[in-house]
Amino acid sequence: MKNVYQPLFPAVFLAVGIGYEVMALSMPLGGFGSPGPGLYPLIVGAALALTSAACLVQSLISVQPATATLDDVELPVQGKTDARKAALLAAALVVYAVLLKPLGFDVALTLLLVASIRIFGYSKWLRNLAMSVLMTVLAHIVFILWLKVPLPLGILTELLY
Amino acid sequence: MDIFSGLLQGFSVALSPVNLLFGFVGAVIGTIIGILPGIGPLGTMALLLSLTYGLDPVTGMILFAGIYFGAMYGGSTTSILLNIPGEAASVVTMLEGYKMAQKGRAGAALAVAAVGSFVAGTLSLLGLSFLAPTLALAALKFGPWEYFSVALAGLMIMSRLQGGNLLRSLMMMSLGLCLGTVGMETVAGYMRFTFGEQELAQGVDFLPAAMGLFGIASVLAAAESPAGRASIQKVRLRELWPTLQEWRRSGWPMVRGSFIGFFTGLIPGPSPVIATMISYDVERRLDRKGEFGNGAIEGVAGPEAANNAAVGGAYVPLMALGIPFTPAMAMVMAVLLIKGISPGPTLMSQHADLFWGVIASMYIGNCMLLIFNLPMAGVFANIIRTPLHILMPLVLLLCVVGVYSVSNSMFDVSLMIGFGLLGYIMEKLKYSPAPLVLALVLGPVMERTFRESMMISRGDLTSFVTRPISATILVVGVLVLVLPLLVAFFRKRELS
Repeated sequence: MKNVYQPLFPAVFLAVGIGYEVMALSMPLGGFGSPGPGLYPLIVGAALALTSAACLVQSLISVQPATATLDDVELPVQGKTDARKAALLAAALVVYAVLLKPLGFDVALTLLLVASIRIFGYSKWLRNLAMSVLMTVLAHIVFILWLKVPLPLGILTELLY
Repeated sequence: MDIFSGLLQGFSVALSPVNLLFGFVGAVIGTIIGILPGIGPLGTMALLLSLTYGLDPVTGMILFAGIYFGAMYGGSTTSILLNIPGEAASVVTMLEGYKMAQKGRAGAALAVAAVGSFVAGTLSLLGLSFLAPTLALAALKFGPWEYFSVALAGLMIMSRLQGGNLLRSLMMMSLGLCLGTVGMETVAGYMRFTFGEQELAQGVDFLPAAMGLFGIASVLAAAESPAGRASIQKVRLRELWPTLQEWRRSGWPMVRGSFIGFFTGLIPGPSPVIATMISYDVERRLDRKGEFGNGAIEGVAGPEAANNAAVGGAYVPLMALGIPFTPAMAMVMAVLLIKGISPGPTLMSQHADLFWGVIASMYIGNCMLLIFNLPMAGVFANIIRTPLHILMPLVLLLCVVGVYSVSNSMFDVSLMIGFGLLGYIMEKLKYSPAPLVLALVLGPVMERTFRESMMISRGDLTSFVTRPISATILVVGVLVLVLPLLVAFFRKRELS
């Protein structure tokens, strides 16, 4: 499965780089003596396009698996990994971002916590809900009441004010 | 201001109750996250950045320094006891440390790691105290050409030293540079790449990118693992204290590790990790007892010293030049920028109390860390038993709230989540996020200094290489980038 994605990733950024360059060309470039807003983007956009093209070529001709970078900490994993869980969590995060304003911080966060606690393997729903509500209340006290962060309150606005 | 009066002033700042408290808090938090895999000092600093708003800039810096040093101490605990590295910088410690634990010498390994970290921390802080002011003085002669070259060379060196695939790191670096141009351009007020979106006018901020790529992405990656926790083998601490012979064997490795770490810290890139690898390699070559691979104490003393010394070294370019060489240093810089203070050569004259206060508190912090890492190591190691289904949602909570509290922007939350998804994909496909983040931070600096250089030199591109300092820096950067390729090329020719 990864073999499809390996060339796809740099291909996407090659397209991005080219699009970026096109947009940069439509900006005032000035000259080297008095650089306009478009000059520097022209250079870095070219860098993006070139490096993406190189990575694309490399992924197409090379059969070797990619090597990990030094920042990677490969943890010993027991059992099989399930990418679908990551996808579910990603979806939960997107839903949080969408619902944050309409439903308000407290509701949205509780939902996100319930979803993530479940995704990480805890199947007792009632206790999950209790923990999520508790964490949300604590967060509310610390961040909204104490640190005065203006988080959107959504549907609870009338309740609390 | 000379070093002794500076340090004196620094200690008077660092010993205030507030600063002592926050230094202690930072050290504890740092130790805990050093123990826990999946979240590191960078992510933690990002989460706590909003807290530093209400604090004095000195106090904020002290908190972050405590976290960074603490993480280097904490990482060794689980590496030795459980063969689980809490930090990338502790991976090497596992090699000899866990073997020692299996032979019943866990206590000795932990003690040597803690003391080595302390010695290295102290030595590297001495280095910082001497080198940073000297470098800052030299940097007063820097013009925009030099700053541009340092930033460019820094990115190139980091991409090379990141390990893995060079082209991919360069691609990520270029992407970061492009993302850095989004938003309102400062000279003419021109809107770039905003697609008419009001939110994008402020540009792509470093914090949502860093929290997304390092925080959210690692939570997403952790979600893939099956439910349950890593099985913890009980290791009995037969003797807590190393023997005299073990102390003697550790002495020189600690000193060597300190030097290796400090100088590695000066270089852009994942310096604590690289420092541990170099130190391990050096100690292995110097090994005459043949114990390496079976629990050689030199293999714990050296690397553990090296990763702590690298932290001290990493502060030098930030304090002296105002240029962060790793994403973690960019986070430290953010603490200052929030308060309107820009690090650099002028910092030492205008905010001497800040500079010396932070250094003094790092000394104090190192003492604190030594004192409570030794007896508490076993207790702390149990923290790793916290089940993922509590830990990870907590990290998510801190991420989503934290990023909002810094900029009050819904957009930043979405941006962070977007970067989280990108970071997850990047991790699976083996693309490194650090060059992207650093390029995002350094890109605007590069553009500004590039344009200034061009305007002053009237479009003369050769000015970057005709000025001696700038030329030297660029040559070094290019060499680091290209040398391994040339070496490999010539080796192949020899063989054929």
